[in-house]
Amino acid sequence: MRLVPDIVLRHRPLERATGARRGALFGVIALAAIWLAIPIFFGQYTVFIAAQVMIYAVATLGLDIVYGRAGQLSLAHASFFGLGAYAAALSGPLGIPLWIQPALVLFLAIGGGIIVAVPTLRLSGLRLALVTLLFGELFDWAIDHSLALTGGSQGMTVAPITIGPFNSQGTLDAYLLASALALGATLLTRQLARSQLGRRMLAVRDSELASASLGVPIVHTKITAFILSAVFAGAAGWVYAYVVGFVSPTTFNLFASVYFLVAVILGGAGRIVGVWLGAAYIVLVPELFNLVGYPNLFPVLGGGVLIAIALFLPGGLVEGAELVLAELGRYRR
Amino acid sequence: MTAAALALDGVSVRFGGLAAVTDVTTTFAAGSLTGLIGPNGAGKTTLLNAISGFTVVLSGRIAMDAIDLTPLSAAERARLGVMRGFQTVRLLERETVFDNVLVGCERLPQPHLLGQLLALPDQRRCRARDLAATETALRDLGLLPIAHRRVDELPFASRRLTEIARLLVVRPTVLLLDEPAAGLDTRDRRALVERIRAYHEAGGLTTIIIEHDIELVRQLCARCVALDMGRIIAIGTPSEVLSGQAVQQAYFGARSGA
Amino acid sequence: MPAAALADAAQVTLSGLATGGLYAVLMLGVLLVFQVSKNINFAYGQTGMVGVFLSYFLYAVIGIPIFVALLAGLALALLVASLTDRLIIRNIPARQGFDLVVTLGELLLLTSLAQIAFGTNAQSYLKLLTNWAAVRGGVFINANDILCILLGVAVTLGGHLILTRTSLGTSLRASAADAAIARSVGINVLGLRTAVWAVSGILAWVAATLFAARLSVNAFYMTPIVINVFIAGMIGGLDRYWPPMIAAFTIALYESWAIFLFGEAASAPAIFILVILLLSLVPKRYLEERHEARA
Repeated sequence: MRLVPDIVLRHRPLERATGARRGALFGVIALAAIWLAIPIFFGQYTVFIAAQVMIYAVATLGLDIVYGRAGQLSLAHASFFGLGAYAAALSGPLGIPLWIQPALVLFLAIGGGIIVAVPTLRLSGLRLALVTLLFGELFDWAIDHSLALTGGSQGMTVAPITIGPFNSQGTLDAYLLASALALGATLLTRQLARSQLGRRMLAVRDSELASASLGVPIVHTKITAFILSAVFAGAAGWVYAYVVGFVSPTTFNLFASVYFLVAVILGGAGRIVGVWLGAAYIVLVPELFNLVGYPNLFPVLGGGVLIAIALFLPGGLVEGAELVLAELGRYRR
Repeated sequence: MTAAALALDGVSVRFGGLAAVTDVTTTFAAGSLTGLIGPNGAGKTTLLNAISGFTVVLSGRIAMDAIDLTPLSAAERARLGVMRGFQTVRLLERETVFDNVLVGCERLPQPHLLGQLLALPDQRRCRARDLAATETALRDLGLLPIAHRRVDELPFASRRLTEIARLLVVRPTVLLLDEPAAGLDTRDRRALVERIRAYHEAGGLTTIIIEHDIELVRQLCARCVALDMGRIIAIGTPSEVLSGQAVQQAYFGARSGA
Repeated sequence: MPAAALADAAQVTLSGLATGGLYAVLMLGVLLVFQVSKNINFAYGQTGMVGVFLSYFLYAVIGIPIFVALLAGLALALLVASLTDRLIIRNIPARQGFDLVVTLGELLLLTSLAQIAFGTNAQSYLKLLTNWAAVRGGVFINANDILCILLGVAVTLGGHLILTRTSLGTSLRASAADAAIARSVGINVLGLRTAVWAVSGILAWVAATLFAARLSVNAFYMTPIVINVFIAGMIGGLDRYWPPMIAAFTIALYESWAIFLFGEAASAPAIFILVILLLSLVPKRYLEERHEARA
């Protein structure tokens, strides 16, 4: 199975040097092995955390699309996550049948993406970040001030999805559900990177002038990027709510949006492997700190990490790994 | 795509109080290769900006064959095949030479969004086509050896050639080059001249080149338009234009010439 | 208009202007930093906050005399501001928006450090004249309000005078316009930059201290304030002076009135609506890229 086209291989020495085709196949097998190993050899807690990592990876993929690839700094991302989560949570009390919900989340996410994108089209930098931040604050405010419906700042519980023996809050079931979502999202993102839309996003990110001179429809590209980010985050949020069983506004506030940003930048913007690394970081490390009894230390580390990465390794861990591999390659020769 | 004639009628551009281009009327025949010359500040780049849509014209009309370009945006004109190179070379800095040229495949027909994301056979065909076109453009300009390098690590000449490759990966209808030879050494210059001439011989391209390199203009261009202070002061073959009194005066001052 | 309503209106306006005065103090800091180093510091509020927390800790917990505690807080704010510039801003790659990202990280860092060091409970702090009041015509005039208004006006006028009438101001504006040229004319650009960031730290501390007297204080208390200041800056334009300063006062008045008319819960949506309206109606120019095409 051709994983990397010949032409690209010939012109990418790093991939040539590491035997990319064989390497990629090996990577896929290794990942599949890890995926099987987790529920077989590890306890419930580990499996549940793994499911969380996958859910957060999907959401982070969304931010990577709009920020890592298209260059629009969205501080509203956790709100899209929350949109999906609260859609799931409210489906119970509002009596929305299960089969409609995916379409509903899609619809809400597309709407949300457009609503946030439109005011930001002519903005960049601080203004863009501020407007998306305000959208985030508005979402937070809406939840906090709708006590009767959503439980306000106290949050609300979410009844699981039950279809026959399947229960979304059961550990293995959650793992499978999250895996399906993560697989779909990752494949979609990989396709995006090879498509004209993906190229357009890179062009818009790096130079709007060059984009215009190429005929790239800048407005269309930005809006599409926001919509995709909202859909990914919304879908992840929907699964999150049904897996975790509880939603509250603090999971979807400004700090949460900043954590998603940490994930994208730590891992490496624009790289799928980077996104997964970053998502693993923002899920696993807080758990680690919780376990050793210092829950407040994570934000310190999160902030510090963001600063350190920005200063020393702006391309994230993936860039670091590539530098190391390049050094090793040179050493071997 | 067949070549298109470019017609300018009474084009004027002002920046505040400054008249950058005044009442330029001329036609660039389909398939022609025209040099645009003149001293610094004559309005050459502004004229190119006006044609490509990056500057709004105060008055006048710009038409490509039967299509009136004047109300169209820069992106819309680019989609019609008006490709513009920048004096300062505009690239995607964090990407490789290969990806920079690949982006130029924008104008080729692509599957719609869902098709792109779902890896349908149509999408795979288009991608293969795009990759092949990119490789061809890179080979033609001698960029294959450095195709994998990031453009922000490359010397100016390579960056210039990368931008030109991006412009040419899909045949333009009108090609606008702004001092393409600046910063290139003799060998690269010769290669560039060959390339442009080869593209023109294959037909289907109308080119306007702004150049200060008189030799290059003589070699390449059958026709020459000279600007000074925003107005056309001479049109003709390079020899005619360059020996004419008006151009001599503009370049060298009133003391020279007859 | 009945006297009671007039008194209410005066009350709301007074309190709005007071907040506006403090916004103006912060606005000057933001403007100076932006114009000299072209950066936005999302952690600006936290710069003042850590100073306030240190002062409180030294004074209320350890028992150090108030003036020393205040001075220590000021010093810390100054230090944090200078370090932000020296260690972080000057060393990040010139990628667009990276200063935003990196200062967001600093926001996380400082907020959580403060929470760890001083706890997460809201504290009440120094009175700073908030308990001096007089009543005139039914209006409850609080001395702290007057202090804030005067301070805001003084800072606004002072900033304008320094920027336009002194050689320091000229040097600042030259460095802002083009650092390389300024340097070649003999202006100590880096020294000026350090000084500006230090001054911004002081301004942040002053505003944070006064706000601490007016609000209940926790590690995040400066965040919504600084967001409003950035919004005012965005509306007025960070590369100008009077429009953003006036916007600072205006946005505070707007918020004060919105809360009065529609309740506490109205402030977030009111600001939001204002921004969206302004953005949709006012066209904003692009950055340098557009102008490059004219070269």
